[in-house]
Amino acid sequence: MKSLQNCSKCSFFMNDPGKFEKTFPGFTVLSSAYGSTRADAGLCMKNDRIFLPSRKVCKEFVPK
Amino acid sequence: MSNSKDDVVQSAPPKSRWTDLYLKEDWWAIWLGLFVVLAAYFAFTSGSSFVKAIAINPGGLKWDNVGQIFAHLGANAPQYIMQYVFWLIFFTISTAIMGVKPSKFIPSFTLLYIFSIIIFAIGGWKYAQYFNLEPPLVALVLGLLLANVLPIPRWLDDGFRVEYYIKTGIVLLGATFPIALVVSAGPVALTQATVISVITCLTIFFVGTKYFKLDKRFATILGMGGAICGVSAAMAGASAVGAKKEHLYSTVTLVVIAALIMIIVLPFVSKALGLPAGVAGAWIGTSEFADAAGFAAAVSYGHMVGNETSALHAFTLMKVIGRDMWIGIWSFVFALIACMKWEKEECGVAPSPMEIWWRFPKFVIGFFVASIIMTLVTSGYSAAEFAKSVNPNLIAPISSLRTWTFIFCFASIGLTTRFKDLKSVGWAATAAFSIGVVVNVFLGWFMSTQVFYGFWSVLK
Repeated sequence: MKSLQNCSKCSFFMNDPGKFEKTFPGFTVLSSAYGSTRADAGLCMKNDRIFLPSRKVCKEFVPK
Repeated sequence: MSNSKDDVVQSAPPKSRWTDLYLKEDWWAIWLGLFVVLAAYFAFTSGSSFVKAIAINPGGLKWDNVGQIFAHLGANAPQYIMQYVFWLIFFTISTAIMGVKPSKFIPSFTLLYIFSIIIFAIGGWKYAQYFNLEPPLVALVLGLLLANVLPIPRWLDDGFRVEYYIKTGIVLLGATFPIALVVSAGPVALTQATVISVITCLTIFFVGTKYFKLDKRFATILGMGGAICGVSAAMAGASAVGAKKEHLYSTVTLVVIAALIMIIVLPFVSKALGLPAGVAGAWIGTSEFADAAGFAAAVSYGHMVGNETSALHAFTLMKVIGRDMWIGIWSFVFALIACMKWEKEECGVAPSPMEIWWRFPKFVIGFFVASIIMTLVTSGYSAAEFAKSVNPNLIAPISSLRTWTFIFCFASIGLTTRFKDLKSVGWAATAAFSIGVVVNVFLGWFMSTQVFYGFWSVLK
């Protein structure tokens, strides 16, 4: 069955702004994860890559 | 458990962004900025002195005896307390809604407020200008010392919100920024910003990929970070192309170090070259990486030459209006390239042009709205009325509150910079980024001092 699956529903995906900032020490010196420019991008903890959740298709999807 | 490839056919459509109105600091900066602007206007028209009273700061004391500072603070304690409470209530509630714990924010902001008073007081010393003790530079240096020498608890960072404070300040700046100036100067700023943004970004990308064999995604975020808006642009680019965590971390390090250096270097080099405030502001707006760092450099230079207004106006036109809009455009372009060329099999849906809007730094809208509001409400006054009544009772209080938010920001830059946290970066990335910086700084200087000198030098 075809399904709609993306990062936002995946257990590996982290886009909480507070945790996102702590992942990159120095990030808040000149930026913020609470700003518009981040949109709802987050970090894939499985692949250590940064994605916009609405666009990504992934074979390693694991539901939350 | 992993799903088979056949099961995963497309990603879900983007969800509604209405929650951004209360979950993103850009929007909160707009709400706070416009609230201050409207409150100041209604206070002005009703004859109330409340906003004027809480807009107090010790920056203009010109003291030569420390006792004068304490006398000033003692005599005006009620106003300072009201102001502190005002900032505290608004910032605490808004950050709490966004997810920051008040138990951490309140003590942190309280320390920041006290630190800011000290910065203002140092800037108000009679001989401060002679010794180049410009408030942004003092805030940066003292903050760096405190953060890197003393064991400041890391949780205090929750109140040192550099971006939130500068965005609020930019909206307030809009209230003192004639919309006619945006209209008349906008085309030049956009032209200069476009030329430099494109050349710098492509330089870093091609040098990085062709000569230093960097990963294409890494080169992309280095290019965006160096050409547009520093860390914010790098983050937007990282998610557009699916960059690795370590690449973003490396870019953060390079951008932060380069931006801090340029906060100091650009004002002093501009002074050595004898540049008019508007020309230096345009150069800084073209070549600094982030809004916060750029405002620190532009305000410093404005203080050095006694013309903060021209430096701020030129910087704002170049950076906030000219360069920041490129975040969404570059993100969309690189997302398309990544999706169609670099990783076709992983691309669920093609990037939407709506990404340009999603990435758009929304606080810029607040800047324009504030500018239009104040232009309209002050248009009915004669020049004499403006100078006698409007400026001291309406414009000046807003400017003072804006200066507070800038000082909160500049102090936070120093207080959040811990050099031991920064990642070691490989020579190839450092070289590619550095070449881009050199190109950017030279082009910024060339366009500001040679191509558009006649325009920027007379900017008011």
